[in-house]
Amino acid sequence: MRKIEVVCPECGGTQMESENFISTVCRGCGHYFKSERAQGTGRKKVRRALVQKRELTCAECGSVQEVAAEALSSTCLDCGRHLELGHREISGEFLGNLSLEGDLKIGPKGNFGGSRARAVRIVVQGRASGFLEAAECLRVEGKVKLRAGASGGKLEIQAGAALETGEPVQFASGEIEGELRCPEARFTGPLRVGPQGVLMAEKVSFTELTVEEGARVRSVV
Amino acid sequence: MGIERGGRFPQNHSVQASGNPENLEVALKGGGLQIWGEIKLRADAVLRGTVRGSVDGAEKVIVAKEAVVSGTVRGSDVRVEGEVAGGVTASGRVWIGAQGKVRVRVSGKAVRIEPGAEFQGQLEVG
Repeated sequence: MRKIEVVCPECGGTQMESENFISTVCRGCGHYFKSERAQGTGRKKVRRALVQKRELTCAECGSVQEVAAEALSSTCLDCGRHLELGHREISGEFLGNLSLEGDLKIGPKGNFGGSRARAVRIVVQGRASGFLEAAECLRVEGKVKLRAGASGGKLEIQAGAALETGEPVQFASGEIEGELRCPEARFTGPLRVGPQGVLMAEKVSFTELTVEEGARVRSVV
Repeated sequence: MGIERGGRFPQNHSVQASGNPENLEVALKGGGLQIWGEIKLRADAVLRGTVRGSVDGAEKVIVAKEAVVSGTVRGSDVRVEGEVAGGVTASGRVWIGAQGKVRVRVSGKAVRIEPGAEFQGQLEVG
């Protein structure tokens, strides 16, 4: 390590010290003094690692706050609601309500028996009876019956899958390759019904509609 | 020419039908003229004008932007850029353009309703 010459502020004596020294005692007069860096000008600042953050909207009150990107749960600073940030898969019976800021998958043998489930993306392969709210996408991969309705960003019903609801569904857009039966289907954007798609609704609304040859649609616009 | 006229038609005015039997264009000479009754078309046709009645096409029918049909429009494929008040029935595709307006019913094997189009009524596909 390189040595530098330091001058004692008390007696003016000089001595050699390591270039990174923080403090020392003068070998001439015994005065304890700190290096200039330690006193402030060139002082090393302890840098904390930058924590990646993301915005989180509370499902209860809608307030927006920042949480660490890696956090798995948080509490809303405004309403105190516990927010589950990770993903969850239901493979058996689940009776409570759910509000996730991650993804929810209801597996082939899963049964969501709660009255409401909210997640960013929801994939349904099994059964669900409550209201499903998927902020980004609700993907139906099995035969699903909902006593209530569903809402969210995009509704995707795979070929061979079916969604039957007791109440209206409302989405930003829809891709129906399977079957949708509901009292009312509201799409604030485009709706596409694929060649194997079936749409049976008392009422349907959309901004743009494409029904491919082979599909079946019975509704009132 | 592939057009059969039914019902009343005002005297001193005429329907202009141009093109070959595979591609017919039906336009009304002079503004504000109307046809009462049913028009039967045996070839592809483009309608420009006002029809107080129905249009029964055997082939493709295009209802142009300025056209208004108060009755139904039938055809193998039907494209609506104008206004159809009585509904559209096609054995093939129905296409309602961005400025198209259709009431009552749309029925076909495939349907495309563009953004901006107006449709109110019963939708039957397949």
